[in-house]
Amino acid sequence: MRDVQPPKWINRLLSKMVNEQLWENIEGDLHEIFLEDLADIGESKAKRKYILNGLAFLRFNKLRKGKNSLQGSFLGKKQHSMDLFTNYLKVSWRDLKRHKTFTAINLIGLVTGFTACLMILEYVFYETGFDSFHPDYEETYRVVNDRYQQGNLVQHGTITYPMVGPAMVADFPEVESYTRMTVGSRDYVNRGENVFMIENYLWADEHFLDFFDFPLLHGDKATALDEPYEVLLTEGYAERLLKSGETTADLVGKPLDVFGGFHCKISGILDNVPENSHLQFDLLLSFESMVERSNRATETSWNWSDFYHYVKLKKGTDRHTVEAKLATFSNKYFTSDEISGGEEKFWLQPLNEAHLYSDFEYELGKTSNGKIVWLMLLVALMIVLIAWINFMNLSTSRAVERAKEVGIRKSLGALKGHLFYQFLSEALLINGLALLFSLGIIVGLQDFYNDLTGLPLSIFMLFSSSINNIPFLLIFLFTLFTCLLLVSAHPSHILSRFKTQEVIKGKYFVSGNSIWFRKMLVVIQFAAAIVLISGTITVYQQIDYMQKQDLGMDMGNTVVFYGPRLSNTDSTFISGMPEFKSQVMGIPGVLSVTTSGRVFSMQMSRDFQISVVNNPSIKNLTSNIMAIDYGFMEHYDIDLLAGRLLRKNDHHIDWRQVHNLLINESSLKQYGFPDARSAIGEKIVVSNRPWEIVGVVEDFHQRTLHTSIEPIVFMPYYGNSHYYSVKMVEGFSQKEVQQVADVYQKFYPGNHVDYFYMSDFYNQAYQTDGKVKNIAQVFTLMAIVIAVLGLYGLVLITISKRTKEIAVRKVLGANIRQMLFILGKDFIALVGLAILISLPISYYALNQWLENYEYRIGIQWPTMLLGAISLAIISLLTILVQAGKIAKNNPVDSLKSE
Amino acid sequence: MKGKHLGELEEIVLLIVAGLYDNAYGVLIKKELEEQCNRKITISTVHNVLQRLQEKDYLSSRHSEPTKERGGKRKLLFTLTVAGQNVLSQSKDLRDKLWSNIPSISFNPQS
Repeated sequence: MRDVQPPKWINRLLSKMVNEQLWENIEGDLHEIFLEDLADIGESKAKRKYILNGLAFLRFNKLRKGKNSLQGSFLGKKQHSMDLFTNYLKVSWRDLKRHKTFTAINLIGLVTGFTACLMILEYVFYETGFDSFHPDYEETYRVVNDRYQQGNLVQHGTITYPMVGPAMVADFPEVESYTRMTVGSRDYVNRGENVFMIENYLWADEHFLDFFDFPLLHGDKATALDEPYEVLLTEGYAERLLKSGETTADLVGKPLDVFGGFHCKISGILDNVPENSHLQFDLLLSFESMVERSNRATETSWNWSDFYHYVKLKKGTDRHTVEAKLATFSNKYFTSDEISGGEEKFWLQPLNEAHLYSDFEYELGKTSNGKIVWLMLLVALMIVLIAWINFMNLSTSRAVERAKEVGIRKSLGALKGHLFYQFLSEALLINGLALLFSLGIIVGLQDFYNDLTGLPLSIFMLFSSSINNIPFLLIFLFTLFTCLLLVSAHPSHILSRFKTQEVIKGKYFVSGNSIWFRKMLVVIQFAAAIVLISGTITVYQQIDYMQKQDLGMDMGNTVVFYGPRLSNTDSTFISGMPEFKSQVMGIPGVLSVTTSGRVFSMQMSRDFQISVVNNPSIKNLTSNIMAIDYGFMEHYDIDLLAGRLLRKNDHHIDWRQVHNLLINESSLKQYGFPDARSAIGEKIVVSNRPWEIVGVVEDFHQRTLHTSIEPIVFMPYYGNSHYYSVKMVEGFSQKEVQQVADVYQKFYPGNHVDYFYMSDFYNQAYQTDGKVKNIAQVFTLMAIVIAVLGLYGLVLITISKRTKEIAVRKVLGANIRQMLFILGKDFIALVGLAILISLPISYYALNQWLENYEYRIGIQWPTMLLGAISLAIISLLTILVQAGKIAKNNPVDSLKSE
Repeated sequence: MKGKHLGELEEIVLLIVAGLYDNAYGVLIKKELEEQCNRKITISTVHNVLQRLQEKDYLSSRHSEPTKERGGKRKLLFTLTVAGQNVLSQSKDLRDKLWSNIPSISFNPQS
């Protein structure tokens, strides 16, 4: 067994704080308990308990250090130090009340900072904690593969072949277990008369429930997915199926018809899938059903790539050692690749990267962008940094004003350390207040924030989580306290240098050094704010750019109906299509109707074995395939480059009689056609038979702007899973949609009518971007507020110090404009410097973000400067307003107050 | 301050130390408390009580040899002092006397 040791840091901490004579015994006792816990409740819980047990010792004065000796402490007797502390708090409190403007500035700044920081941390913790509820999550990997042809990457996917899992377990001793699954698109289940839609489901094999931690509420885990046609439902989905008086437990063993033809048995009920699982499903269908349906092809196939594999490695195995052997593995099973020039490269993707760092095609899981998560964390740190710099600046300035109080304390015998404690207690007071306020605000705004992000976040989740077994709360408080120590060290350091008599006489200065330090802080603060502003503007521009981008097609006013899944794609279905179309066209308000295998933004299927008939050297090419109705291109206003579009008679009841197709512009190059015209009449082999290219269409964005345009072939045929697009007149209403639905129902009885608006559907793909935009906007606003508040405070102090100088200048004849210049020039220089610092940082961060988009704007310097300039204007206004007030004062008022 | 007064937990711990004779130390005392008295208590509380009892001179302590299950640390073993024995028997006497004062009717009003 591995020798597990209790966390060292806690021992170090305790040994410093606990009475040294008692420490050995305490450590021994803690260790003994730890060893027992280790056996009883496991390593991570035992460690947590060790920390808590250890910290509990600090509760008792008798066990702490310094009970008998005063050495190393300037606090003197405890009783005395408590009195002093209450006195500090009292004085701080009075001071806060007396200077309401400063207290307000300080509080608003800190509250905004804490609120923003904690809200972002909620998000970061949620996103980085995905899938961690699976017990062996650190040993779990997904098998992913890159497919190359003639050295070019043609697919970067998560889908592999059904035999990969079994073969890996057989070939590699390091691979302990596997599970495999495949995913289907939206379909229906029937329970008796009642039909229910099912959107998320998986065909999962018999290992699935052991492999992952998705607990079964009812049913037998060992056999639940063993047999063909067994289904598991999640509790939430099962509830929809209940008849009156039933509970979900009663469903076990009941029949359920799945996908209109599979007679299945419900073998169990699963607990609802947690939000933070990248696999999301409502229903599991036994993989055996797939095996049986495919005539056991899954047991031998090495070219049917529709399967997702997860494997567990033995504890402590480095995934790279397994990955290194995968090349030989690939050569062993893909012997025909040698001839075709193809190559399969397999990789292992750790489960903890599946949610955040997955750039794979055919992704089945819920994914999010890791870069954005880390950028947000950076934003959180920047905001809290800005807030604390503010606080430090303001309290330093305030400290100077309070020099007299300090002088008196010093003359009464206060030591340097006492001053430090005083400022610390003050920092604690105001930060504690701010933290309380912001916690209140977060709880209040949580619903709004969750709407904005679309995520189930909560502050309680944040505080109950832990990093490397150290509770987050502890880390948070520790960080907070350390920072407060630093923040209060600065003002006390400055003040402690004053000589007592001079302070009481009123002669004291702030040394040049510390002013310089304060100015640097303002510069950092401003630089951070500028980075955030230019970031937000760039996010806006990118999104705007995407919205204005010419997609090469027009999807306006189009309603798309799901295909009649429950009807068969037989000759009646196909020959009935023209009649269906003409009846729909007969509805007033309908402009056009067409069908297609996919609609915009959907991933298409691929063929990897395309070749050109007249040029034997061009083979093994990859293209996307999309089935369309002959009217598709006209319907969506996609332009023809050469040849002709498809016609009605290109369709045929017999699929084998269909041999005309269209290609898109991006295909030309790979088939070796110099231009569109030369492609017309050429034949290419797709789906293992030759087809004639009758037309070439202009490129359009079938997918979103995140990806580039790939080669597509368009084949004319119909299917029950195809999408029915209906284009309406501008300003159509529900009435027309209902009329189309009626026709649909008439032609495809038994099917459910379900539809969506094409443009809404397409724009869903940009939802994440929109959310990033919203979030960035809110937090940038917060950062600006804090930065401007800080500047305002600083201007206030600087100007009030120079009131007399201003009065004298005025008496000597300076006009307001000159004075504004004198007062403003320092600040303008600071803002200028901040701009210089911020530019490279924004440049780097924004480039990182923009790399997510295949079609993106370049970094635009005017934008970056715009952010800087807008901040400069805001700060200039702040200065002007304040300075203007002072400059307009009657000089006599400020001069006579000597 | 409480002076030499013996609190309830203190008394129980003292009794347990007496019962364990030569082998009374932190973790074992905590276990006894859990098993015999059904009281969940943190190890730090036990230490604190032991420390108090030592200050009141009811307990004396000495170090044992280092053991492996304690990460090579020595145990601090506690034994009752004469004062400790006295205070326990005084407390028992007091209780016995108070018990004997209870008329049987106050527990069995019906009979």
